[in-house]
Amino acid sequence: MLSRRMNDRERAITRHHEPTRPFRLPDRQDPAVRESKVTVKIPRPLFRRVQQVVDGSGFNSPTDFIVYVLRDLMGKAEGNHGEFTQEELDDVKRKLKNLGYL
Amino acid sequence: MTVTTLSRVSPVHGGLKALVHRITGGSADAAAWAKLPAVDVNDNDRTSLYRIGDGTLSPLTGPMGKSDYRSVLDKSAIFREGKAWAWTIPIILPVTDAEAAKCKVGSEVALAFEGKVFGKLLVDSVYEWDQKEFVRVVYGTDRLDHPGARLWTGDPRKKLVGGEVTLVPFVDARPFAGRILSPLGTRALLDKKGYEQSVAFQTRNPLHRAHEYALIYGAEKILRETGKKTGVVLNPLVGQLKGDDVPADVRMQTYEALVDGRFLGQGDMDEALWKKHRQNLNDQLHLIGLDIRMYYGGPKEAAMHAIYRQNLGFTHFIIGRKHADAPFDDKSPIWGDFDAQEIFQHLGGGLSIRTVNVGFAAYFEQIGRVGLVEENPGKTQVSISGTKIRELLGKGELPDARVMRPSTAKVLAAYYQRADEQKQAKG
Repeated sequence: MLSRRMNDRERAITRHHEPTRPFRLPDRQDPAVRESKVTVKIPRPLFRRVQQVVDGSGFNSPTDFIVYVLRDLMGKAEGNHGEFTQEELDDVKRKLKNLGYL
Repeated sequence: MTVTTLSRVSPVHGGLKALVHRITGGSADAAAWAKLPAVDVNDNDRTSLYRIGDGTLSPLTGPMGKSDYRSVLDKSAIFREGKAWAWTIPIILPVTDAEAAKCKVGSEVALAFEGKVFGKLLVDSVYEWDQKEFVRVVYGTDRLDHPGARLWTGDPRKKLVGGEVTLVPFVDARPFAGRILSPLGTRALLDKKGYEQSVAFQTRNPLHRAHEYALIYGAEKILRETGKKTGVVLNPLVGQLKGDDVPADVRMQTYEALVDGRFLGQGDMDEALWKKHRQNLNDQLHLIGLDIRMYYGGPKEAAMHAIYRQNLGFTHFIIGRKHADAPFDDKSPIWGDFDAQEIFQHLGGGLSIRTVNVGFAAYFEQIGRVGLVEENPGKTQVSISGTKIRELLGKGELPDARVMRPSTAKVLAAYYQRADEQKQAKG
């Protein structure tokens, strides 16, 4: 069977995450859709907690805060903190050698 | 063994396990960042940003946001993981009002120098800059007639922006670029040489023998105390200075003449001490430039100088008399002669590097070498005023070798003669 009826819990979650506006397919000719931004859904309770954190923090909106945190996390995941490439390590060795220190 | 490694180099400041490393961009990144709203920085700003990028200013990952800025001014500390770490001068990025309007918290802006993008900033703070408060707290005076204050009060930018930087590598075309090492380089040097302790000496001036003695004294003091293999590092600042300081390229030539000629300590060192520990001062001496701006901030800058050196990995740092000093325009002092040594007794937070205090030094006729004034009461000092030395060098004459080594004086004489000729040609 390709589909089944939702149980009560699934129905509740679906209601909770229902968009406030009627859903429509994105129109690729619409300038707003061509923007380099996408919509990501997060649980509403988490959103409320983010709102509390953002209030008075200097961030203009929960979206700004979430983008900031995600960028920070992605930067860390990409190894931008304290990790050096082999090229950088070789460059240091070359410099020390040129100075006669190695 | 990890413990041995830690005992050889200082830990990174701020409780970090590794140096901050934010020079991770490539040319393709710079091209992409050029599409972002841009902030134009000056030479001083760019140097500071690159020292953040290479970890000299660890644990900072970008110019200070408002909370770090306030905690530095109010508590002489930054806080990381709930712990206070010494920090005495805010590392800031000033912006114009128009630029500030482009810096939305949470957004990215490009960092440009003379129109060329070299990095990006992920903005986490935009705030007002009270320049007078900054000067009052950093310099400890309301007066503005001194070189330190003029660095800031002449700046038309009135807002600050904080966040996290990502930079492309800096291409350094200066003749002494090969002498400049990042913290990664200095730590590799200390490790490769197997130094169990290391002492750095800060300078922004050509060295008189009395200045040189501060480094010798510091190295011998820690060698005498521990007997450990000691790295000795002449670590001049080669960043932005005030106009009447001798330019970095000329100073580097004087230091190179001193180091390459193995003149350091000649006549002044405790040869028996080095021999006893089977070590050699000039074999263990290294000239490494540090590309960072001067603040002319006396005691507070002395603390910053120690933080830089801790991140470079050195275990000890020499603090002399009038460290990072620049007096009021009427030549009266802003700080006491030894304030820069005393500040380390009441820092606002943790600092691992140890300081070695050195007093006034001079050449004494009776002992036939340079020594500390406090250890040679009643003996005759050989001294020449700075004005007289400048006059002699301008005429191509070398001052008394007991005051300045000929290797240093020859480089300076050539420089001053060139400078005087250029001045005359301009009329």
